[in-house]
Amino acid sequence: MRAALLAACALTAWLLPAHAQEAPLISSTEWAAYQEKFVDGTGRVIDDANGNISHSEGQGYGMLLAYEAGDRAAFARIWSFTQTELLLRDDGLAVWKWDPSATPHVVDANNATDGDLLIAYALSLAGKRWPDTSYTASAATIAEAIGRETIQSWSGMVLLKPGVAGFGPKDRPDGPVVNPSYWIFEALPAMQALAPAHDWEGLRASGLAILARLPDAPSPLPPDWLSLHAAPKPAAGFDPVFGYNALRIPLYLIRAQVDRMDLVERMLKPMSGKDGGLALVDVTSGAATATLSDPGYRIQRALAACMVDGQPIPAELMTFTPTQYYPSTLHLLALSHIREARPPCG
Amino acid sequence: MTRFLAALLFPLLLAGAAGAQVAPFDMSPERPPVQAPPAAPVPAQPAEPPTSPVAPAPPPVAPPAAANAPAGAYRRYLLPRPQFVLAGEIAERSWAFHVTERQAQSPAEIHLRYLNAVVVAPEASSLTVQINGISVVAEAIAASDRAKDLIAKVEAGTLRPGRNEVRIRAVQRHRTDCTIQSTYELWTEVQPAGTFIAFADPEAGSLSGFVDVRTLGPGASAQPRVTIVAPSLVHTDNAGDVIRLAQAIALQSNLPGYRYRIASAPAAEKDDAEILQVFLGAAEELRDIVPDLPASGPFVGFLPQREGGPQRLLVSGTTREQWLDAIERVVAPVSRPVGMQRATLTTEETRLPDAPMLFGGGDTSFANLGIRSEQFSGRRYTSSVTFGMPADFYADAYGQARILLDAAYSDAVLPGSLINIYVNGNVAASFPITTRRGAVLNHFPIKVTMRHFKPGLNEIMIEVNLRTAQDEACLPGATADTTPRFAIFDTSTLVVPRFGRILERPNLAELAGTAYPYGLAAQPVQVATERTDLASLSATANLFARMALNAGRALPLTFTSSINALRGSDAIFVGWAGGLPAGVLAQVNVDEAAVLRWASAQRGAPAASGTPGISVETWREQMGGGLLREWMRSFETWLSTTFNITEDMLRFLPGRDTPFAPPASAALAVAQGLNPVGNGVWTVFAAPDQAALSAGVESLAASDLWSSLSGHVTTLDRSLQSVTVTPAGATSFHQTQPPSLANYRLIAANWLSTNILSYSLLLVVACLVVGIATSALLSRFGRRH
Repeated sequence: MRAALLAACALTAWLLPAHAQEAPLISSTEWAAYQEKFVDGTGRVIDDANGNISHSEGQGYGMLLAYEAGDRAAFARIWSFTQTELLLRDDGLAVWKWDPSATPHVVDANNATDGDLLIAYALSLAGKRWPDTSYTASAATIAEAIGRETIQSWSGMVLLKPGVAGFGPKDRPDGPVVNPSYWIFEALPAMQALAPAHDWEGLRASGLAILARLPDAPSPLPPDWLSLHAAPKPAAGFDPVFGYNALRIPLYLIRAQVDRMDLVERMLKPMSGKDGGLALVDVTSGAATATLSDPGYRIQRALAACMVDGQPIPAELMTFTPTQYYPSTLHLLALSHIREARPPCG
Repeated sequence: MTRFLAALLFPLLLAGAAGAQVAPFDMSPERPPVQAPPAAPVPAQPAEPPTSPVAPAPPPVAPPAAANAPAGAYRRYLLPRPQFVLAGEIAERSWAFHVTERQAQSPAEIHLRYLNAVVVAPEASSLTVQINGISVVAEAIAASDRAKDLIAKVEAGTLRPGRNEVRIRAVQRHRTDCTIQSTYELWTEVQPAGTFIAFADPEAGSLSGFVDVRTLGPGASAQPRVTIVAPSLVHTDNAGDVIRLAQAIALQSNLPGYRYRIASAPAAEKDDAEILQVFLGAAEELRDIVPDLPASGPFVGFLPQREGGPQRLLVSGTTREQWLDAIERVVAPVSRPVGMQRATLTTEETRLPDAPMLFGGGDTSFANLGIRSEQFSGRRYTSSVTFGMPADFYADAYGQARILLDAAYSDAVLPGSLINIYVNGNVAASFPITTRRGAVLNHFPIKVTMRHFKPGLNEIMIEVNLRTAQDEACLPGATADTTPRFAIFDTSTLVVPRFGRILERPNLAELAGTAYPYGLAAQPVQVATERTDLASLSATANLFARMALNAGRALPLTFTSSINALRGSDAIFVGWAGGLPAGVLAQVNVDEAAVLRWASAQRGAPAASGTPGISVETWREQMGGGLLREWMRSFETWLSTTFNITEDMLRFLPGRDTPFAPPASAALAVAQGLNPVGNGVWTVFAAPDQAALSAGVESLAASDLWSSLSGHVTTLDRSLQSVTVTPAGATSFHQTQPPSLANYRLIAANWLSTNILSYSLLLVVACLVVGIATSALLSRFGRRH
């Protein structure tokens, strides 16, 4: 009931007209530095650590950051690339991978649902701030497609398929398989408004329930890929790690301001590596497999620690210098949220 | 039917096949794309190296049950499998476990941790546990938010010293949905780490003789480890004896899940997964590493357990001869003489009853297979039985077993209900219920194809889907109705006819099933591996421990490094690419160059040869094809989709294998081929490097994946969780039975069913002969006008 009330509040808050912001959440210097390194002139967001490929998730992040930086021109450019190069599927979702060195550039026509969610979410935000009905219309089309193609019910839960094909209960012996980091909780109220026919509230509740159901031992951390065939466990065929996917989950929970900081609290200690780093953990043993020290990763742990214990975030993490696409993106997403909603942490 | 159609199509296909021999293109059928999961859309994984050394593991979180267990209690973990899911409306598992006399007399509690599906209705669902037929837990299933710990007292007298039986049963009903489909969403998972018997007696953990190895159980970890510390390995060649001891431990515990590690000194760091430490060697050698070593005499037995540490077993003596003798003394009681046919496969520590071996020509009642008479009120009844097949089973292409079912269904059951039989997870028979008024089936025959039978352990699952008008209406509370709709009786029987018995080589399924041919070796099995490398030795120990379990005996073995000595014998090679003797991979038809590329790719180094593999096949792919090829492809697709006939089936003779090239995604490849003399098999366990070898063999041998070994090559992928099988094309036969016409007839029947064009040809030849003979006869005696 409480959760439903909170969701309703979040929805109401989202439906209110956006107030004109005094200063953008991402400064123009930060955004310029980010763009210079990771966004090309055509609006392609470049994953420089993965052979300079692009993906739907990167485009979605790029659009969201452009929105938070208040840069309408960049937003339009990134959206334009996304629209023309990735939105090629018949079902209205985006292909997930675009490789500059391959011909044709689209080497895998599958979608990645978190990319779709990010794109729809960024479009919906932009449509509210910058009166452009086409943004909202496109957001609604994608949201409808996400609801139609990727939301599935299984054993009393509402699940988000990581891709349209291949993750369902009938597709694999350990199916359904989900990626808990694809639950972008902050985007779900927006999706509810855009495509009300689908059970976004159920999706949100199930996303939280999945995290809550993870066992305490050997590790309460969610693996990147999770089988929900029976009790949650790492999916076959993927490394059983709290890895580069799952490390975003605390950020997503915090950004969405869900009333479940207990979930972040559970994760904080095991994800804390040496010297303030972020630990990647083998969830089958609880042992750390690596400690990430890029500021973009460190701030994830620091933000979680601030939410749980009220520890202020070290000053050096509050400034942004681009390093690599992925940690830098997460860094800006954390910074913008701290500035908007958690000033005491900064 | 298939065969008939094939015969009809024969002339056409003959032309096609002839064409195939000359046409320079690939004739592989164009199958519809397999619905594989898409390449995982992962977010960027920057290649940032960890800048600091691997952080220490966070302290393990104490399981919630810890608070409840009496202080100092000794825990005997219960679940024989790391994953223990009770799925569907009715599910039951039973198995045997052993306790010591002291444990049996100690006050005890049973702890059970479980989590269930959200949709399980607590008011209509229950979880029960019985020990030796005495109920110890009976609870409504109600742990859908978080795993729940149940604790119940085990009354005095329930446990017996030695062997005990435990039975866990779940009856589950859906909260709201009455469809058969919804029953697949019902599950309760019992979690091994929180499921154990806690003995209050502080001395319950003291074990004495070697036989107490069987009371260790599976341990708290999903991957329980047994470490054998043998200091003499550093300077003496007794690796074979160490592996004999690993086999004795496997046979005594009878649990396939132990992972063995061989070391010459105890590990410096504590390993939480370690359940048993074995110290092997002369007293003198062990004195430094075992401070509490008994002062004198040969000694085989457990040392006092240390706080928080694993159990410690000592196998020692004052001289080398004494401890070698000690190994043989612990091996003897758990091994069986070679040549003695087994009546059962011993599975009772994981599943009751032991699986009877079926050699064909007899019937076995469900009571003997472990199915009890019971009635059922839900929508989908399931129950399963296990049995063993011999390694030389050869009737997969035509054989039919039968189930003579004694069962009954009520008049509520509607037509459209189904009785399905699954063999090893594959549908083998489906029988529709067509009458409306209920019926009692008395030895009702259901034919079950033997296509999915395999050497070793097999499982048949009986599933009955019951449709009723009540379920179609699905009024509130309908799922909780307990009016019986179906009953099954233990007088039902499984009838396996006499089947062809001959060995096909290579076939890894024979190794997986009964460790054939090594399991029958009277002479030591020849093993070639890097003896001085403990990782290779540990891999070999895991392999032999598993083979011993499947063979039901400890295998003698000897190490050799001379490939020439192995040319005429059954041998096993365990090594990493580059470390295997030259010529071995080629002998088992594996592409040596591809294996080297595989190893380089895993190391991230550029391939040694610098060029990707070239083959005629890839050239054919590149060349594309002309109209004829297109036409053949579309014809094959049509055949496959319309009549379920594939090119593979349309053959005169088994095809030739192309040398196997391991994919980059593989961590381990297991390949089998004939030895150079042709009188035995070589089995090779190869990995790109030592770490992958030991992790790969360990995961394969200690898990259910072992039973997936099949065909010519089986590869284990890098996640160590799934395997890919490459079937053998060309095989040779090896006779195991005394020559008999009856057996040859059965073998010929299976061979012709596998090579159906040969069958068709025979048929045509027979027709022609009859035609010519008739014509000749008529021309001599018939009327002429």
